[in-house]
Amino acid sequence: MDDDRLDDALRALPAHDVEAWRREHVRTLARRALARRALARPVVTRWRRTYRRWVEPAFLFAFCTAHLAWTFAATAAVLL
Amino acid sequence: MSAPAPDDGELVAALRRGDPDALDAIYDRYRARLFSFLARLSANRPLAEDLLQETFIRLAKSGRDLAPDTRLAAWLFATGRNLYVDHRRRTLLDFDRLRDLFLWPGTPVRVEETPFDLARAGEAGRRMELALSSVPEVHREALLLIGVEGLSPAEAARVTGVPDATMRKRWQRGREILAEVLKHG
Repeated sequence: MDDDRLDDALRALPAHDVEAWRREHVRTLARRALARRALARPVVTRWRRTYRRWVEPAFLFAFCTAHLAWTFAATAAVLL
Repeated sequence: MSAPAPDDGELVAALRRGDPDALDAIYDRYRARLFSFLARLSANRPLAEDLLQETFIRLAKSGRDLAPDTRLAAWLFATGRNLYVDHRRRTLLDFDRLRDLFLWPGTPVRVEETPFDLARAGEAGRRMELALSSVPEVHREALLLIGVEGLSPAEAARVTGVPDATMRKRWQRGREILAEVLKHG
C-alpha cells in the first residue's frame, strides 16, 4: 500500500464514542468540577491587593527598623 | 439560521471566564476524537473511558488558568496521553502485565468493540484497526496523532514531549510498519 492510500485509510477511520449514559455522566462531573472551582476561587478586592502590596510591607519595614534601632541602642548602652 | 459555532480561541476565552456552555461545547467537539485516540492507544476501552473522564475533569478544574492562546486539541491529547503514561507506570508491575510481557511478547492487542462499532466499521476499517493495534506503541501514537487526528508533526511532538525530528521519524517508521502489517496480515 503506498503512502497516500495509507494516509487516506487512516483519515477515514471512524471515531468511537462512549455510551450515552457515560457521556452524560462525564459531562455532569466536568460541570460540577467547573462550578466547584468557581466557588473555591478567592475574591481579590482592590483594597486587599493594596494592603498586600503596600500596607503590609510598610508595617513590616517600620517594625524591623524600630527593632534594629532598639538593638543598636541596647548594644551601645552596654558597650559605652 | 443558527449562529456559527465558536472557534477554539473563543471557547478558551469563555472557559477562562468559567462559562459552563463553553465546557459543554468543547466536550461535544472533542469527546469522540479524544476517546478514539485513547482507546486505540491503550487498546482498552474501559481504561480509555476512565482517562476521558479524568481529562475533562482536569480541563474543568484548570479551565480558568489556561493561557489565552491554548490550542485545545493539543492540550486535550497531551493531558489524556500523560494520564495514560502515568497509568502504565503505575500498573507496570502488575503480575498480569509481567506475564503478558514475558510469555507472549508481541501478541497484538485490540480495542474491545461494541456490536455497533463492528457494524459501522466495515471490513476495511476492521483490518486497519487490527493492523494499527499491532504497531509498537511509540509508532502507533504518531500514526494516531498525525494520521488519524490530523495534528501536524510539530503539534504531535509537543503533545508527546519529543523533538520534531523524532516525531517525524516515528511517523514515517509507523507508516512503514503499518503497510507491512497490512500487506502480510
